[in-house]
Amino acid sequence: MRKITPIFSILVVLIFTISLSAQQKYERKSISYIDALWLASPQAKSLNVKQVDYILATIKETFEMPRFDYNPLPENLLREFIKSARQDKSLTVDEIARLMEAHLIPAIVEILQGAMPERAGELVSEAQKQSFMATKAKEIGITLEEIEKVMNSAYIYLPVMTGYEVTKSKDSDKFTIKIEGGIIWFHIDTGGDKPKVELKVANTTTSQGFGSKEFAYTSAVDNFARNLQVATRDIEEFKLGAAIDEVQGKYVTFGMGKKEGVFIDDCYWVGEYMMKGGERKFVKTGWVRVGEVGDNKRDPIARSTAWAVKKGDWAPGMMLIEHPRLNIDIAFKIIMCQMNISKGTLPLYEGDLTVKDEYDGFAPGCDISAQMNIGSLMNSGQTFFIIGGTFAFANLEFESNTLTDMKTSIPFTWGIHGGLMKKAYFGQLAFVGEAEVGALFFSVQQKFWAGEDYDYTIKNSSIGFQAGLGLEYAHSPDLNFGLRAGYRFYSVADVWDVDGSEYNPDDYTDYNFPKVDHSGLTISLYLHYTPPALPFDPIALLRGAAGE
Amino acid sequence: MKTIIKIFITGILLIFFAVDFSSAGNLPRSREAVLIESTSPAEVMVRAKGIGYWEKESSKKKDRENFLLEEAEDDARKAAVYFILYGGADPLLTTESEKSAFAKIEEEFFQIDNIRKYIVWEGTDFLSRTKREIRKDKEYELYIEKAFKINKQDIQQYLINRGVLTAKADIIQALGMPVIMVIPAVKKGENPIQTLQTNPNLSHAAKVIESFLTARRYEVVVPEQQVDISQLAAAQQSLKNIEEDYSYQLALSIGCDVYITFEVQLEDVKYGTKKAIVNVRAYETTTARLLGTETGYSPAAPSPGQVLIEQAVNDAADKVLSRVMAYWKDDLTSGIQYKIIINISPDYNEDQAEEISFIFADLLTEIAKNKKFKENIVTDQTLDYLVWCDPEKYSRSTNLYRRMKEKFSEEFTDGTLKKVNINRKLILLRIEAE
Repeated sequence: MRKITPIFSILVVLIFTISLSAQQKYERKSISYIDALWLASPQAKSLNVKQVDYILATIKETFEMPRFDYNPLPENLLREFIKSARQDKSLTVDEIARLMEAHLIPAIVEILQGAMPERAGELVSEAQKQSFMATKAKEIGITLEEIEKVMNSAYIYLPVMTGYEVTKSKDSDKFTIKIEGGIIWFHIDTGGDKPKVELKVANTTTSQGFGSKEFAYTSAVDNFARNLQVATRDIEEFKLGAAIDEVQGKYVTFGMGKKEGVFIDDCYWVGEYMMKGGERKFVKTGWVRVGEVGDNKRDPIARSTAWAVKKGDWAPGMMLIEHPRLNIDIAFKIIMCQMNISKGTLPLYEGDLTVKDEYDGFAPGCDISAQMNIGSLMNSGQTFFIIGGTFAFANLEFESNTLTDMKTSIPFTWGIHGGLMKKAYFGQLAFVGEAEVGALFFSVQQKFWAGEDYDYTIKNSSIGFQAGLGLEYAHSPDLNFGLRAGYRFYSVADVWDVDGSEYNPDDYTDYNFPKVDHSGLTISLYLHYTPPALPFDPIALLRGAAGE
Repeated sequence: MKTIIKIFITGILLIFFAVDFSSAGNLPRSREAVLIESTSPAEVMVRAKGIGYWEKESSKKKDRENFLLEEAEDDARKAAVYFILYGGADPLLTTESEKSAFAKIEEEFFQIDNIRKYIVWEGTDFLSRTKREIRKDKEYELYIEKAFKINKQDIQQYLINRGVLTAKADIIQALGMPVIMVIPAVKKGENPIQTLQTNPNLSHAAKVIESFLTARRYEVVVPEQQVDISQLAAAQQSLKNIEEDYSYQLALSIGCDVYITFEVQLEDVKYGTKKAIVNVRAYETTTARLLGTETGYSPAAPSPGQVLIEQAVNDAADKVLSRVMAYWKDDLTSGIQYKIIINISPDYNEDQAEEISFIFADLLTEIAKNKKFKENIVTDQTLDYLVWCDPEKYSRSTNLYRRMKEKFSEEFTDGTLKKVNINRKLILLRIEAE
């Protein structure tokens, strides 16, 4: 394990984003990572060796993006650097930069020079390939310009942990673990006489995990790393960008692909530079999503294709600039779901509970789901794995023949569902089809006094299948509004659970138990939001709740 | 009837103005371009800007971007070719007469189909691309920048065919192509031939210049053996300031029309890269007059020094050569230039020496084309003249010598005119008492 534990004195200074000049075509950057975690607060210092190792391994794995070249630092140099860093208990970011200059930069410069022919060769422009050196002199055409670009494209990152909080659930052995921290990016400036390390940017995030202590920690760290990866991709220098090569209807082709880490469904802004008020500004005119990824690792001239969601009047030469986001949409729906609850009576401890009138109508409610884009895994764009929860109120009254002072909560249904969803875009409109399986629970809370206060929860559950079709409008790359109609096919449930005791109608033949039928039409209005970061991983949360 | 005539006349006028207006549109809107490098003796790489213009009437709104782009790209192509014609240190059109001759065909020349013929390669990347909104949804401009490789030689040939430029062939017929000597520039007192033999960078640069010139069909002399310049040196004893200019003396001794000197520097830049800087100077042999000087640079690169030298030489030589040709074309109108140095025997007294100088002044007035000659030095012992002769009569220096000898013997009986050394440009004579 490697820890740097100086006093966290000036991290506040780091929480900013440097305004960067507008970028054009992406030029590869090379990064070095310091296999050490800066524990910058007393809470963070309570992390044990295993936990630190897990953070470092996760960050390293998450940050190994194809858009970067890597300058691995020799172990002995890292050890020297960490040793020096530990000696000073009140280390500032500037001092860390100076330590990097002393211990790491000579090695990085050497690595860069060694990798020069390959890396600089990739930066040689098409005009240079037509030059004297590349034609008559049969050289690859590398000049100082490309060399300087390579030398100035080197960055170092250092993970930092500023907060660590463990909370144990009162009524279970589950834990909620919250971690805070970020990544500090340093740039190696080789423009002067001597290479200098300067602070570029610090990205911070907060992440939580839930479940067993170990699972809560690992899920919090995984989510932490994922959030920071998106934030890193959003740094201007690291954003992928390319010029449009060709426009064919709603499709555009551009010169990036697998080598840069382009994936199906990645979103790119499309726009152009315009003179406005004497300044050259990038004006967005629409956005695209990647449809086919060119294998430019195998064929250097392979192109990727993207399709327009919002299409402007586009022409070759306009720019595509990456819009990095998590590949998880959060969908919030206001729903009306058809439900039928038949008349009937349940025998309970102190008296029967009766549904006097049949309920047959649309219960209002809401649904929250996480939609993970698995288009890249399935090699089929706009394919999502959905997992979500639903909640609806049924306007229904329970009565008791004996307990006159009984009060029941408004009955509600809740459930979980999961499945697949596919979207097909036609401009900003998208047709959506989804199929899911799920479990639904009908629940009512009963309170009464019979010598003492009683509080029961009466439940009924069913499993089933649901499918739906929707039409949505992409307002922005991050926000869709939609209307959905679906149908639920759920088993009719007449087995009830009263605070853990099962009431099966087969055991009470004299009774006609109320039957709950969730099958029927569902109508919903919804919005999807694609966040740049999430405070927790929704799937991990469910897994944690389910027992992990 | 009157109405019909009015409509007819109006129609004719409209057609006339329309034709006139549209033809005026062939010239590029942008005239911005820079030379990237001379990739070969025939081709140059140019970075050119183009401006596309769109107004509501130009096309349907949905076609606006494609229209703007096509316009801007065509404009950039034209600007690249325009640069070859007029721009930089080495334009094809140098004289007023060439420019006015070209003005007559420029509309035709700048038709985009014609321009495309000279574009050997065009970049697909935009080096810059910026749009300007003049009036929202009504008027836009698009500025782009691209790299082009232009075949300069083809443009030159086209202009020769169209009579805008004087063909080399015409010059060759009249004067012959200039013979150019290539020699490294050396410090005072150093021997350039020895330096050429011992310095591999200079030797390589000389070969590149030689190759560059021969590719353009110039006659080139790279003196690799010692040349006897003692006679010239002796004859020039009285000529101050140039007696130690070995290159000049060498050029005169060899008899070239123009001599080119060059210096090569290889500099270490950064990260193990080197940059070659080559300074090339062209001189008129007869007068040592500087015709042009250019410095060529290679980009700093981790390439072998000789590759960089070649690139820097290409950069400089192309520019200097245009000065040489401009000089040669200009000289064509005056005639062939000869340098005549006459040593007068010390046996003659002051009056006789003066008489000799008068005879030569008369003689050259008669021989020189348009009576154009220049007295560089006239002393009791030495006469140094520069004379321009009609190439039809005196295409060779021996013809001129013969004529001078005949004429001199008619005018002066107390001595004879004898040749010391005669070559293409230099006639070195001596007058000896009988």
